[in-house]
Amino acid sequence: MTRAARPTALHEGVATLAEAAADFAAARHSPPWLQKLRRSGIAAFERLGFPSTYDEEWRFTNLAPLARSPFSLLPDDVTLAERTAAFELEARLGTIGFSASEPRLSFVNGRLLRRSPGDLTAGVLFECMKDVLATSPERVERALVARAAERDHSEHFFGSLGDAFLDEGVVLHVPANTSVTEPLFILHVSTPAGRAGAPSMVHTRNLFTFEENSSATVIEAYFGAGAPSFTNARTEVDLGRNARLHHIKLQLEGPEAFHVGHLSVAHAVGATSASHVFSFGGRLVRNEIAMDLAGEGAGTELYGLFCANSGQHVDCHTLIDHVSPRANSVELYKGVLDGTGRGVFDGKIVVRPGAVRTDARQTNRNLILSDSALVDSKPQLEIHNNDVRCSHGSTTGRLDADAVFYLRSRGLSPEAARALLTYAFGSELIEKVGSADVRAFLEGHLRAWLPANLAAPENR
Amino acid sequence: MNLLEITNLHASIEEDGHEILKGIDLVIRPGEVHALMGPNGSGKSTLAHVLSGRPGYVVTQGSARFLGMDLLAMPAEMRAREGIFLAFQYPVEIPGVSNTYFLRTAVNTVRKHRGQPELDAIDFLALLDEKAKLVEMEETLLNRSVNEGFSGGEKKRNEVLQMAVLDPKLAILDETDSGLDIDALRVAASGVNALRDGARGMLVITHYQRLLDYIIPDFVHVLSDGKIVKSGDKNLAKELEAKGYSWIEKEPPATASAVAGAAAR
Ligand SMILES: Nc1ncnc2c1ncn2[C@@H]1O[C@H](COP(=O)(O)OP(=O)(O)O)[C@@H](O)[C@H]1O
Ligand SMILES: [Mg+2]
Repeated sequence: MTRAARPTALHEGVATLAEAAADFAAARHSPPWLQKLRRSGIAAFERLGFPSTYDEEWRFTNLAPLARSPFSLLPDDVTLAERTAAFELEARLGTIGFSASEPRLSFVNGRLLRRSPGDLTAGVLFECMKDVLATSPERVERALVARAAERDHSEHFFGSLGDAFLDEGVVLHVPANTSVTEPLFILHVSTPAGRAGAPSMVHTRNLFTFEENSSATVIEAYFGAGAPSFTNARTEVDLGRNARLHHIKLQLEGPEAFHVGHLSVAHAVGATSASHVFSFGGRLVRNEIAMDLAGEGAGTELYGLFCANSGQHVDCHTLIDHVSPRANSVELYKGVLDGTGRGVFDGKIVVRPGAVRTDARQTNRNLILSDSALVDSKPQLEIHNNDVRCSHGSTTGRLDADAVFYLRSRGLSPEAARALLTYAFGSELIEKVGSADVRAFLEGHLRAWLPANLAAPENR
Repeated sequence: MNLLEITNLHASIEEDGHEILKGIDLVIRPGEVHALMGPNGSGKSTLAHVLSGRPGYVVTQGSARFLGMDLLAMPAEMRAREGIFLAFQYPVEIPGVSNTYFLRTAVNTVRKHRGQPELDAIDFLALLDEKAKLVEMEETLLNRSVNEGFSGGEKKRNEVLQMAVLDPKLAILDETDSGLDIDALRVAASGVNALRDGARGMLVITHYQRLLDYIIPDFVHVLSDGKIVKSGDKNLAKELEAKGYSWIEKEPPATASAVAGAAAR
């Protein structure tokens, strides 16, 4: 990896972050292991620096705009202005996460806004990271330290950055043989802080542990009013034998937001997961998923819809690591790019020598709505044994002109025809979501995204 | 007033400038059913496309008026809203858009244009149910994506269903019979006949006389190399069936160039 060509903006950004992280660590009273974890996080991200486009994993995503923008860590207390703005934004979610029975933890600019216990299934722990670190840090010590050690080898800048600022997030523990019926809802709202100074940055860490034969649905929503913000969100999941995770991520922070999100799931024997990502753009958005199919017969389904309009960049990175025999993976990602919007799909499937009888299917389809929109698609299959069934396909195209005419010949305006076809393209992913409330919310959101974002009507 | 009045219509393919329609004259009055026959490649679909406003063609000469309006100046969707309907020779598959949703959107767009109130879900489903019976369309097809995975016959019946629901003033049916077995043909034809009401005009494009046993036309025209070379009543279709298209192509008053063009195919 070459470091020589790193632009200065990336350097300066790191130095500022390191100072902020050192101040933050010094101000917290924490057990020694946690202080050590934060310090080694600082050392690691300083050593690594912001990845540049010379790093293969960041080839299509230039982080200079993020490195160049100043962001500040907000004090612990939530202001009235933040609270008011957050409640307004929460209301936009409509029905999802608001039924009295749904357990929910809401955060504003990274700090707890409120918790609704809902009808939490007995034995399930659904708590704030900050509370756990204050009252019983030993419960998360092993998992956090082990993950950080792994990260050091994988040289993950944002992961180390998250370690350095480790403080808040959600700790979820689902005991063995327990099915959590209500979806668990984690809501992050970013709002102007109502204070002088740079826009806020948030580093949040979720840690989920599923014991064997347990299952739960978790919805993570990132909401914003469109103001500048930087969110670095990391969710790390351990699935025990035959455990099942449904994970839905809604990224809706608005056009000025920087968002780097990472979900990694370790699967034991027979464990299965489904991940649904809906990413509606931002100044610079990166959605990373790493599925480690370590256990025999594990399975994962990855679904993603990403949309970007002018001035926005959305990068979806997925890694599916087939380690053991007889594991399945299915992946479908779709991108919709309009205006000068840019999208990236980088999907890697690795099949290790021991992962015989692997079944892996990956599809990426992108829809380009304007002449200046762009998408880079990089599907990669790395197969190290012969006893596998793998397929992948990637297509990028415009709306079908015959279909547009067919709709117009029935009276629909060109705009309505294009909106309907674009909606149909994206709705395939909405239909894969199990929760009717979430589907209804997304249908509305996708519809609302459409008209204003459709390029000028075609020539008549 | 004439429903449709086409005068000396010339049209070319936009991409290469190749002239396909070489001077069409045709008048359709309210209530009339006209059959347009002709060999493959003679320009039947091109005429249907030009009348419905499909992009990709340039009209180089002549005019087309619909209820007195300059049809060629109107975008495709305006023609549809004003009452022109094209049943496609090759209906398009639209994954992800349910047939019912599509039809309701179309009906309400047209109703809005006509100053009628939009139909709510219940009224629309009642209308759809009634018209679906007309073409013997199963309910499962209504809930599937538009034409996706439909058989050839199902696609054509879906076109007739759309026509019935949209209630056009002029329907252009482009080879709605091709690819249909005799039962499917009878169903499609009876759907079309049910829509003959003394006011609606129809231009029924077909390659074969067979369809005209079920839909009895008032007039028959034969298109050859972009021109109408013969017009008559329903007996012309029978004569064509007996003698073949070569009979027409050899007949005067086709010009020398038209004959040469047709023979080249
Ligand atoms: N979009 C097009 N591009 C190029 N050639 C076309 C196009 N549409 C029609 N043609 C040509 O125009 C001629 C007439 O075609 P068409 O109208 O489909 O005939 P018909 O419906 O009578 O069989 C044919 O030679 C056909 O190849
Ligand atoms: Mg044709």
